[in-house]
Amino acid sequence: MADRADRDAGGTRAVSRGMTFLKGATIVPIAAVVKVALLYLLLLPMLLAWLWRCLSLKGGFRDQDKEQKDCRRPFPEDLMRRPDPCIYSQGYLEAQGFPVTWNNPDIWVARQATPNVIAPDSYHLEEKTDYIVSLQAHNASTDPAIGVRVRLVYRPWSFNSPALVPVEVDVQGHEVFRIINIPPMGSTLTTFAWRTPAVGPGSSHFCLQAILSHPMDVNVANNLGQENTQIFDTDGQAARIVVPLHNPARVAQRFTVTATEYRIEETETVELQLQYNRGRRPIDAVGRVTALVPRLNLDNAAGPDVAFAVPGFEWSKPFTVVKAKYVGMERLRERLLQQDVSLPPDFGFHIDDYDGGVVVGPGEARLLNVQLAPPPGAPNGQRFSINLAARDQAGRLAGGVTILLAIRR
Amino acid sequence: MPRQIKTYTTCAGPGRARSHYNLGGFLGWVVNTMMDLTTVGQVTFVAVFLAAMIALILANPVTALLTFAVLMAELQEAKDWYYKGRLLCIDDQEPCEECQKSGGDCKNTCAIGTVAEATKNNFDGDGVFNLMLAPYTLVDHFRALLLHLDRNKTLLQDPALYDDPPFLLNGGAPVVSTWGSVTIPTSFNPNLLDDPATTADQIGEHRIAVRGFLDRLLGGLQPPLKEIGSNLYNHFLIGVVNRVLTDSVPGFFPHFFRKDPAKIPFASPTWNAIPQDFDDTKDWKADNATNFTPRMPNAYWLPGTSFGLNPMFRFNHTLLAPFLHCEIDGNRVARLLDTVMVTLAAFMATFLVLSAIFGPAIGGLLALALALLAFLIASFVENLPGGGMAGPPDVEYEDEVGDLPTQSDGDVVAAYGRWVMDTEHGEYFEIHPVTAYYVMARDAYPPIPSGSTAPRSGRRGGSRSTRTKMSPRRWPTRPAI
Repeated sequence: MADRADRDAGGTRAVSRGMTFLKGATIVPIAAVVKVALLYLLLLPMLLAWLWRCLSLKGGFRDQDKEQKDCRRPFPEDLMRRPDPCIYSQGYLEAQGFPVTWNNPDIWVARQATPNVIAPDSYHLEEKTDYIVSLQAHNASTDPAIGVRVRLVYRPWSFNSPALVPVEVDVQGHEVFRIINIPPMGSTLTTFAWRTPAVGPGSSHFCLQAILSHPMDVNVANNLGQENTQIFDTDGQAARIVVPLHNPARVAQRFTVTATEYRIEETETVELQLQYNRGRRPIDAVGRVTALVPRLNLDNAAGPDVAFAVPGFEWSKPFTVVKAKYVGMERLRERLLQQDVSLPPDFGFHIDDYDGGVVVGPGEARLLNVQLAPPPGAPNGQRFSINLAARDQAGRLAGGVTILLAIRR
Repeated sequence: MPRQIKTYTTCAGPGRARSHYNLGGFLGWVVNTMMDLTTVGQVTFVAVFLAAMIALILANPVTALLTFAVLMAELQEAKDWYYKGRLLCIDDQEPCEECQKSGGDCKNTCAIGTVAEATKNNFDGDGVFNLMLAPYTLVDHFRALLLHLDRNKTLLQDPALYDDPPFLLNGGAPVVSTWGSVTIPTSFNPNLLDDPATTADQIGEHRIAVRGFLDRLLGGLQPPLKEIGSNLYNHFLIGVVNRVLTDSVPGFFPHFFRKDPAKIPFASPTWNAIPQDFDDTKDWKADNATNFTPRMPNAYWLPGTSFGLNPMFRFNHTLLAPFLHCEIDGNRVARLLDTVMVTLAAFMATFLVLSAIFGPAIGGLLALALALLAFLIASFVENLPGGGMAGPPDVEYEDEVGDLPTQSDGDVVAAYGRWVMDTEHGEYFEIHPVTAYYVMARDAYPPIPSGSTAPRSGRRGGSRSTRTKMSPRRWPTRPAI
């Protein structure tokens, strides 16, 4: 009972002291302040150590630096502008299941003497002649592509020839590149001067290959495009074409060759729409909550992030990240995937010594004698765009040529 | 690609941009005391300051509430100054016309250059990196340095220049830096880079000796002068950069090196708000002409302090090239101040309630405990989103890009953002905040010539301080020239 009475009395005294403090009658309870000060001094080192630890915040480049030992560190993705330079790329399109042609719409050739007359194919070019090769590079990103390096090489008419020769060289024999800028979702034209080399009779066949590169390229798979076309006129008889097939691998490989009938529909247009995606970063979840709390603003100078203000206080706008991209390709993509590109009925396609494929030794080449026979009833003037694609035994695209077969009766 | 990037700082117009020396009142006193103290002094000051605050809070409710109100107001003012009042907009209109149309608050600009120092985080969470501006190369800058040293050889041996209050360099004796067979500024090959017989080792020796010379010329190792560099150091580098701008290929960005009337209208409020950084009437390329005698007050420094010309560029002692400083916004300081304010409010509310029941001592202890808990929770919550460090964010929907982009020394990039003058750190131009970043090429630095022995800074030359902190492991990407 006595203890309880003491406790009651103690509680009463504490409340009494509190009330006295609140009234401000007793200014400073000296003993209590001394106790607090002593406690404070004892706790101070711990408090400072704890504060230091709290302030050594996690995240940011410093921690990434510890994790990432090399000097190439992540840079804020939302600041980095990432272009997507691209060209009509057979490998990229074919990997997505689209039919392709080697009559590349982004590469064309004209004689330097007659720059407005575009050569119809890359097969019938003349040796030791000055040409202008035009190349159209695109940018599939909403960010500009600044400083895209364009490389243009040629190789003999073939499937998969490893011999690549620069189209243009300087006086010292060094390969010439072009550095171009491509606007967002736009395209840029660049040209190369090309003097075709001296070749043997009947061998002035070239395959042009363009390669784009940019250090921040979003998609590097669509940077290589080829132009490898031959026009063949026939009076209805079968056309015989000889195409070398190279195997640069160190083991023998079995190649298969397929033929499709496909050309790019040049009159078809697709309207793209710019779509904005608005989202909030997960890391700003706290910011969203704290934005509900007004900020003190005594000068009433509303900043750009202020959504609502009353004298002395202001509320922030909710922060969102905006991303932009173009949409509208879906229907074209769907149509292309469903398009029947098989050879027309009665179209003859034959390769000599082809038994479900041809085997080519390591580092060797083999001539494929291809026979293309148009349907007997094909009318005069009809053109067939036959695309021959060679694949290695793993199913990878090894190369291709496009034969533009025209009926001239 | 992301747009509408979150930034935290806004610049202030002429007259409103203030350095910490310009802060008045209680906040100015606290900040200036803290900034000018050593670490031990800062800890002592914080301890005494906290003790005084606690005594005032425990004294009675009136002083407690008054203390609380003053602290909250000062913390808010500190936050406003740090994020809205520290950087001077380099526009003569505030906001500029295009900003008004777009509803934004700033005018952005673009700078193209080579990354001279890849991004690292500052204490305030900002991601900082430096650009060596196009089209100049390391060769251009080093050639100009050697030539300027040679032309000012006699002047740089004049002891009078080394005792220039408040700067006392090398005890008032001329600075000499020696490495191998090279002694700066008395014995070296000024035509080193144009001499076909030059070896990589000779280039390395010259660079180390020059570094040592500049390190010692910098002077002002004690705060606050460490931020600005000695007058001799500044005037020498102004002369060097003037040679680069006038001798070398025409530059794209003279306005990032120097206050340019083509960009900033002469005698406009903005022009007047930027310290004088050049003197057109002086022939800087004449022999022994790098000295500049007039001294003038700097509005962003303590009243009564006078300096010579204030360069608008910074200089990297490792690369021996001027650079443009760029910062990506972080908000670590804001988060810290918010946390402190939440803690203070939690303490005050708890204290007033509990002290009514248990008295100020017990109430104070309990409130302190609860406030610490509030601080812990607030810190934890604030640290969840990266602690205010500028870093790679995630968005709530999938990005189409692949690997995280990286940044390396030697990248040729365009940095896009706000062109400002930082009123702190010696008043330099910078891009802050950076809001877009384009990489145009990589590996712009050539490889180190074989035989180079170049370390990151001179030792025998007397180097004790450099303005840059290059990571040694990044040195292998550095050229000897």
